[in-house]
Amino acid sequence: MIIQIENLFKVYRNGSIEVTALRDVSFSVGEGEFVSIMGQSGSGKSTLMNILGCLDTLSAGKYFLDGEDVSLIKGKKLAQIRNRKIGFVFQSYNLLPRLNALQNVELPMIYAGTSGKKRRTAALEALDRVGLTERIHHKPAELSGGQKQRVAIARALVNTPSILLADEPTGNLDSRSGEEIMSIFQRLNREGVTIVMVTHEPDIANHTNRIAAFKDGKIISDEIVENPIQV
Amino acid sequence: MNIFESITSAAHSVFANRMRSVLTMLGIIIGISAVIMITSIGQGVQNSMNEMFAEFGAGTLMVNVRQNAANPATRRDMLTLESAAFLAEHPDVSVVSVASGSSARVQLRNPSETSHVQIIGADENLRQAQNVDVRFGRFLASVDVDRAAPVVVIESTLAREIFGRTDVVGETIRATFWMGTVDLTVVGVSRNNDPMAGMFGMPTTAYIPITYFQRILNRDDVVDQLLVIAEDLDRLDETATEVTRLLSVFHGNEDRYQVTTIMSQIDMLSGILSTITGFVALVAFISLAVGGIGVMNIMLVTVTERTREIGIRKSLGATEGNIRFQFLVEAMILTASGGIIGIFLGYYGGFALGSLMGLSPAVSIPTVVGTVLASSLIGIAFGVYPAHKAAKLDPIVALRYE
Repeated sequence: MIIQIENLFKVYRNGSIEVTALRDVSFSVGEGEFVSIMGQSGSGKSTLMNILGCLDTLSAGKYFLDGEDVSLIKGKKLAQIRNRKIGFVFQSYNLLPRLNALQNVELPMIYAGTSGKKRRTAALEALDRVGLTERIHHKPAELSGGQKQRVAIARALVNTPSILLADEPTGNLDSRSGEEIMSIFQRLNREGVTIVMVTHEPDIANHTNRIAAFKDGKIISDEIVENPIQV
Repeated sequence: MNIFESITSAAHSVFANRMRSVLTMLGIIIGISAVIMITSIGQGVQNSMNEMFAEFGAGTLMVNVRQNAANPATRRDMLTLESAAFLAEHPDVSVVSVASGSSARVQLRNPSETSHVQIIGADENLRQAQNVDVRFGRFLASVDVDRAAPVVVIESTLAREIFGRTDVVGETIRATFWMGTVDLTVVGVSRNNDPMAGMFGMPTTAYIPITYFQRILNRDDVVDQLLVIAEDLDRLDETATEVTRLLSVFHGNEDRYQVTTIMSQIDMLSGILSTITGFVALVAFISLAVGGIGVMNIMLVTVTERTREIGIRKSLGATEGNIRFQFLVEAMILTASGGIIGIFLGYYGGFALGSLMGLSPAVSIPTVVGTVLASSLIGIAFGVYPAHKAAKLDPIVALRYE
């Protein structure tokens, strides 16, 4: 299993009020899976995503990432896990505006301590994988939404993480660019990349192989998609 | 993430906000250049002062009559040519010279213009006691003193002012004292004793025979000061005591004479000077601190502006240490480049100001090193808090920041 969570609780404390965002969630993702997590806003799916991505800590339960218990890891070690084992793709791309596409893709490798020459090669390779060979010296502001998201995917892939986490990756895109992104995800998945994607759109979720639905901090259904839409 | 990448990245960000960076640096630039300029000018003044006194002769003792309103000196206590002659007999003493001072106005080429001159009534021994460097002609001679001759030795600055040249032996100058006007024949031209003479209305010095001085100023045979060169430099203090004792015996009084050495005068003056320099430098340092606060302010703004960037970097695996270092380097680049510009400005500003004041400023390496260190330390000190704030940002909150 790449991801295994057991009896996960997440409680936020807002002054004297306790808000339980996740209650007793158990969930796992095997190697090579392409899972979508669905749910309305406030259902707890983003909280789960943050915990899976080691950006947030859990209140109770266990989280194993790639066989390692990461529930209690903090600080520098946690940053290393984010760097090496997790690739993030965000709804709003989250590229650094001052850096060009290539430099953005190189960024995770800088924090991994990869040397300059290796970085360049790996970044070009990752960009090639997402089908972006032109405009790689352009800044994000000069790229289209679809191109930006492809740069972001290349950045997420470049340290060959154990898992790719995508949070509403098509949310800011028109339907054609959205389809393009989904086709890239499907191709990457066929190449062996494990992907967990959060979405609230059933059409998008139907491109994946498995859908877990969230409501009020709990998983209400977890089903295999019989015939995923192929792009 | 290595240091080189941090520096490149920080330099990019400093350069991206050019106007803001320059304005932020300005505080540091002004602070650093002020510190360097003030200390180098101060050191320059000190150097020229030392030079001046060194010429005067370290072995010279100055003897004055000690008096105040409650305890006025009587006619009997006054120093005279006879006291000088008496002292000169003593084996501990090699040369005794007399000096009295008054100010006069000397007429320039244009008769309606005058120059302020410090007139010293002296004997032939003053040349040795004060190391007067005669360039043309000769110094006062004993025959001038014996005859109370109306002759004068002037400084080259005054010669140039009156005649437009320095070799003016044989010319006549007209000097007006409070007692009246006299014509004096120039017998010698000396090098300026004080490098600042003739500038900012500072008087030049001219020497006339003490006897002539006494006559035109109605001073009887009284002199203001005796200049005594001790035979043995190592026994300066003992000689000073002996001189005081001898004079008391000669004049029949007690505790009337004050003997000071050049060294004690140098010590006193440089003490005053370093206090002034130190105080002004302190003010400059305060402005440096204010500049540092400006850097901190801008760094806090930068951190807020780049909250999202910090969130992104953290999500990609940046550690708190990486983020802290990035912002610290940025603050240091701001202060260090401000510091370097400030050093150049202070250095050349010091020379510009120095040449205006007619002295050569001395930029000391420790001062430069000290200010560079100070500016870097300010960068670190005032960068720590913003960098810490950035490092501690919660990535989730930071990513959501608009």
